Amino acid sequence: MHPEQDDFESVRCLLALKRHEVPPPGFFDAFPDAVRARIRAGRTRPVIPWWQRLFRPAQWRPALAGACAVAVGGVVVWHAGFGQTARLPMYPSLARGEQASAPNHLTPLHAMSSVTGLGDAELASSVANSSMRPVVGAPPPSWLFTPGAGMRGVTRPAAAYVRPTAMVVTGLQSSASAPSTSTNLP
Amino acid sequence: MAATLNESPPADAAPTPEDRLLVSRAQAGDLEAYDALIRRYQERIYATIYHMTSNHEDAADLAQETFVKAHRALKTFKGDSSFFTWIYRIAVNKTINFLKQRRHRGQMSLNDLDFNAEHDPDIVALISERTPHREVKLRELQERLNAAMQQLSDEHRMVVTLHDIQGLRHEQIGELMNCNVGTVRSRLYYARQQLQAYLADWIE
Repeated sequence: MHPEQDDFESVRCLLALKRHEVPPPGFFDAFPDAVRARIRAGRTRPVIPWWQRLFRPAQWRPALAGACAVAVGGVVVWHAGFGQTARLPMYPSLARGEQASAPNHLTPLHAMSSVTGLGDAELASSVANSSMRPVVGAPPPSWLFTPGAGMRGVTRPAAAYVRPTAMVVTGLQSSASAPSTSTNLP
Repeated sequence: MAATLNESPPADAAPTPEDRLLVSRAQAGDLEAYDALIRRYQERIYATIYHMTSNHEDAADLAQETFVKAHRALKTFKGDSSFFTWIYRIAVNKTINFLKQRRHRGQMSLNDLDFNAEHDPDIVALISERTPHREVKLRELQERLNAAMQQLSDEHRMVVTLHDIQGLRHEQIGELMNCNVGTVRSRLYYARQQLQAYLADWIE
């Protein structure tokens, strides 16, 4: 390709017309002043608040702004509809603001006491001891690691099942001598 | 006074002593010196941007931005190239960035033709062969020419603008557009070919 040997003389003649296009009269006389004004304005550029900068993209991207509005609206509608059920008061008394705590018969300690038959004091002592001597310190049940037992080792005989009371109390009170069955309830 | 765009000083990349003096004064904070630099190059900068955008308002705005940005960066100007080349490069980059951001082709806002257009021998030869209504046809030709220019890619239009309209050399254009002379020649050839096809009814 030899660009200089091309035959584009007519195109070049036509392009000569572009050189005769002139801006409005006085444009170049005022141009330096306009530049100087912009330079000065740049030096004292006002600080744009963060909320205006935040919403600036929305001005030139209406689709993005619309999508955001739909998303926010959806979250609000969902919260108003489904969120109401989650906010229903569990205890009417709490909802009314009469008492700041749950009823006594529903506390964990009282529930455990009703199951085990122990008094609150004894139970509290057991719980306190359990934190000092964790269950993991107890020896593993003998049937758990029986070679060749497979899943049969997990499936304990009916006699191995004891009442939860025995589990809780013995497992917490004397971990060293805890029965092998007590710590492996499901 | 309406200055014609073809009355700009010749495109010379060599730094002149006058430029050096004005630049050093402007770097020291002398706004009057920078004012003189603006007056010296405003027509060429504006014309380049105008021929690229075919829109007077965009060209005026971008030309102002070019000089504002140059003023802000004046401290970094080391004088390795001429001030002319340096500010031209700012204008070229700014214009190409602007055109890339402008997704759709903008509305043309064409300047008027000066009085000399009717007497330009090249133009007269083209017009007189086709119509006795010279003025009407000149305006029509101007619109067709600008529309054809807008059909070119930004890079091709820039090469045509700088070479065929502004009169810059291939080497200068390569320096401004960060490409080699071969690329400049190739782009120029392709752009002229495209223009010839778009303006076939005016040329054939």
